[in-house]
This record gives sequence, C-alpha cells and structure tokens, in this order.
Amino acid sequence: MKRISLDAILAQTDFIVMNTLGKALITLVILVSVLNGVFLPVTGFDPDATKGTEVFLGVIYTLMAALMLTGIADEVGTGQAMIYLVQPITKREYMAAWLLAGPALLGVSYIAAILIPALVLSPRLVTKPIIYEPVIYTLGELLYIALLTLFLSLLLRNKSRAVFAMLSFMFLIPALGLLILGILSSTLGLHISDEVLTVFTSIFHPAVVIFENDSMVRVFGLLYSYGGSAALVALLLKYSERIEV
Amino acid sequence: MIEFRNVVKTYGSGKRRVTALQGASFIVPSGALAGFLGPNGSGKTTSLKLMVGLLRRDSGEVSVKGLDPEREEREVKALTGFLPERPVYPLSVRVEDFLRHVARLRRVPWSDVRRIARLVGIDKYLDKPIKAMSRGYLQRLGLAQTLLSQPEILLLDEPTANLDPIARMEMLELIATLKRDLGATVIISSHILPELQLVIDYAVFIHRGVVIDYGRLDELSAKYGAVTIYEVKTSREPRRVAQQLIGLEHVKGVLIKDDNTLEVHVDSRASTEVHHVLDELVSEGLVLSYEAKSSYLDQLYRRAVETAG
Ligand SMILES: Nc1ncnc2c1ncn2[C@@H]1O[C@H](COP(=O)(O)OP(=O)(O)OP(=O)(O)O)[C@@H](O)[C@H]1O
Ligand SMILES: [Mg+2]
Repeated sequence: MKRISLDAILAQTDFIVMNTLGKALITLVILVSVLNGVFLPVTGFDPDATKGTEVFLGVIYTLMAALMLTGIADEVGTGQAMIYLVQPITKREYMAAWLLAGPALLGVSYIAAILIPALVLSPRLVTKPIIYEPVIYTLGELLYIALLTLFLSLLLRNKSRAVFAMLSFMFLIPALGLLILGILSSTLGLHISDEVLTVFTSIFHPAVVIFENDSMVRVFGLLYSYGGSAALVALLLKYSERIEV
Repeated sequence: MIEFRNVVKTYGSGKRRVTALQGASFIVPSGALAGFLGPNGSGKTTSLKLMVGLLRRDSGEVSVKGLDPEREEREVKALTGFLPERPVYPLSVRVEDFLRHVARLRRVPWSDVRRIARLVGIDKYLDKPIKAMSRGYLQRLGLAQTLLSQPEILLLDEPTANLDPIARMEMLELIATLKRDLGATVIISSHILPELQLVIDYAVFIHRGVVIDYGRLDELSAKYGAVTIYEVKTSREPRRVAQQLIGLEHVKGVLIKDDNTLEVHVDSRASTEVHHVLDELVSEGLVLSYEAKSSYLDQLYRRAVETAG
C-alpha cells in the first residue's frame, strides 16, 4: 500500500478549485442562494413548503455539478492530466484531489446555499429539524450523481460524451423507463403502484423518495444514494490506479 | 541508473491490441546524457512514460534508481523531471500560477520559480496566461517545469520537436549545459539523430518495440565501425593537408575533391582528437573550415538494425 501525501492532494485540490471549478462553483452557489432567498418569502417561510423548494434547487444544483465535473474527462482525455501527473503526485492522490474539489466541496457549498439564506431571512426556520430533512435527501442525490459523473468521465475520457451520458442518465433513461412502464400498465392492464414508480425514479433521482410516505422506500433511497456514493468513492480510488495518460 | 528488463507494453484490447514494447531490456547508467533513438512509432514515448508510471507495463521490470515507478510512484516522480512530447497545458492559467503549483508539488520555494524562469528565458511571461506563449516558449515552459526541483533524472521526449533550426540548437545546448551544471542523468528521445550526436554520450537504439543495442557512444562506434565524413575546405595545397591528415591514426581515408576541398573519413570514436588537429590546421591557416557531413549516429543505428536482423 502506497503512503498517501495529504500535501500533494491539497495542492492539487487548490489548483483545481482556483483554476478549473472555482468560478462555476461560486456562480452556482450565488444562483442557488438567491433562488432560495426568493422562494423562502414566497412560500411564507413554511417549513413544509421548503421541501419542494429544496428538491427543486437540489436538482438544479446536481445538474450543474454534473456538468462541471465532466471537466475531468477533458483533463484526462486531452492529456492535460499528464502535466500534473509527471509531478510528485500519484494517480490516486490526483483522484482524491478531484473528489475533494468536486463532490466534497460541492456538497458543503450546497448545504451553505440552502441554509445561509434561511438563516439570514428567517433564523427561526433554521432551528426546525424539518428543513434539514430535504437537505439530507438532496445531498445524497448530489453526491451520488457527482461521483457517478466522475466515474463515467474517467471511462469515456471525452467531455461531450460524458455530458451526454450524464444527461441521459438523469433525464432520458428515466423518461423512457417511465414511458415503457406506462405503456406496459395500459396495454397489459398491469397495476403499477406509486411506490414502484418512486423506486424506479429514485434510481436516477434518489431524492424523490422524500415525497413517499412509505418509510421503507425512504430508507431505500437513502441507502442507495449514500451507499452508492461510498461505493463510488472506493471504486474511483481503486480505479484511479489504472488511469493511463 | 535506469533499467528495463523484458518490458512488454500493449495498448488496447482484442483486435485493436497494439504491442508497443515487446520485451525491451536496457540500462542507462547514472550521469549519462543518453539518446533514446528510433523511428516514429518504435516505442520511445511508451518507454519514457513507463519510467514514471504514467503507463502500466504488462510484464517485465522497470527500475529507476532501484525504485519501481508503479509501486513507488511519488518517489520516482520526485527524482525525475519529465518533458512530455506534446504537453497540454491549462491555457488560461497564468504561467506563474502554473509554475507555483509545480513548485508546491515539488516542495521547492517560490524563489526557485523566478530563478528557473530566468534560466530558460521565460521570466517576462510569468504574469501572462499560458496561451500567450509561442511554441518555442511553450517548450521552454516545459523545460522549466522539469527543472524546477533540480531533479536527478531528466526525461525529455523529443525536446526539439516543433522548434525552428536555431531554437533546436539552442535547446540542445541548454540541455547540455544544464546537464553539466546539475550532474543529472538525462534521456533525450528523438527520431532525428544528426542533431543529437553533438550532445549525447550514450545511446539506446529502439526498433519496433525492441531495444536492439545500447551503450556508450564510443563503444557503439567501435562495435559497428562507424565513420564520420568531414568536408574540409583548404586555403591552398590540399595535397599537403591531405598528407598530414592521412598520417593520423583514426583517419581512414582522404579524398581530394577539387582544388580546395577534401573529404576526410574518420573513425567516429576519435572525433574530438580529429577536431583538435583540424582546429590546429585552421589556426595555421592551412584549413579554412571543416564540417561533419554524414551523421554517424544514423549509420550506427542502421548498422545496429542490420546486425540485429
Ligand atoms: N494510447 C495509445 N493507444 C494505442 N496505441 C498506441 C498508443 N500510444 C502509442 N501507441 C502505439 O504504440 C506504438 C509505439 O508508440 P510510441 O508513441 O511509444 O512511439 P514513439 O517511438 O514515441 O514514436 P514517435 O517518434 O512518433 O513519437 C506505436 O505503434 C503507436 O501507434
Ligand atoms: Mg514519441
């Protein structure tokens, strides 16, 4: 087992944030904070209503995050990664730097973009546990999709192909799936329960389980997004050894 | 010392599998200024990348100062400066920020960045984005990032590619000077052999993924009996100069081409000694100028390929 150099990881994280993701990240945080700051008064600071708002903002945030993280496909595919990887940093440390600059920082900034406007506009809201619940679900989705993006980007090594793959995963495939389920249920007279539809959709958007009352479905959604994220982190760190530039 | 033992490297899989190295073995001793020589597609870049673990070998052993570049990745990279064949830079990043990052990874102080930037002549670009640099300056930036921590080993993949003839010679002279000052082990890969024969003292010949021979240049010259052909311009009496030259031990033959031109065939191992004699003749006014015409490195390479069958 190789020793990991935290210095090397942090140096590369710094560089990615300052030069690759930084501007997009700041723009995204401001956009989502402002939207949130507008929605909160509109919904009358009703903790229940924030659920819908947060899921909506979570989807926007996740989509933008996925687009940003396909940047690694460019770096590895065009050979730019080589100019870093000839320095004293291992491939695994390079990957770890992307994990920190990408999913980790995106996760933290997402929480900030949701909670800070609430704290500023209605501090009382922040004391209510109910507003944290959607944060937990949407954060799971954000992390899962962000990590999946990194993994697909490394496999495809091409930004446009990675963007296409992620948009397909987030929109095209679930839409087609739902269409097929719809056709099946109408032609075969099959009854498909709401739970089944939610579980199916949650494969692509785990946060949707929050709208389900069945606690089994909710637990499934959380296990899937957080468990899947953990598995993807392990896979990415393992797979990083195989990167060739 | 850098050593390859039976290294095999393939790219791709199935039908599109390409074998880039098929059991390459060689040694480059510490302190050598080695040419890694072979035509396009012979496996030079593949070999250099294997030396720092950018690629994973299929089988065989690679050792860089006793370290395995795959298992001791960071340690090998810390010892090594690497100039990629076609480096891709983050173009909108400022030159200074990029070099600062390299300095941080290599744990060298910021002041070194300025010193190295001055040394390779890119100091006036420091506050500009990388995309403002011309090809020649980009190549210097590439050299700067390899030199920043004064590594013990420099791996330069076609460092003169994309440069104009003057810049090529400047680059090679810069490398030779740096090598002397740093005392580093240097490997320069190239498919253009003539320009390298002036700077290298060691060669590895690679042909279709196999290393056909390697060793000190004088030893290879002796082994393959290579000669260098000089064109010598004489002021008058070419016959007299010819007689002086033919008496020398390493001169294999002299042809009188016309009233003031000689063609002199010299054992390539002795080129420095013959240069001394010719320089003396120049100072005596008997010889106006002389110039090596044939590339003996090309000859050596060809003979090594022929001998290897
Ligand atoms: N990423 C890759 N995928 C598939 N084949 C490759 C790859 N890189 C190199 N090759 C093949 O491997 C062989 C050796 O290539 P390599 O780049 O090592 O040669 P080279 O000696 O550096 O050539 P050049 O002088 O053109 O730079 C060639 O046949 C090349 O086509
Ligand atoms: Mg090459």
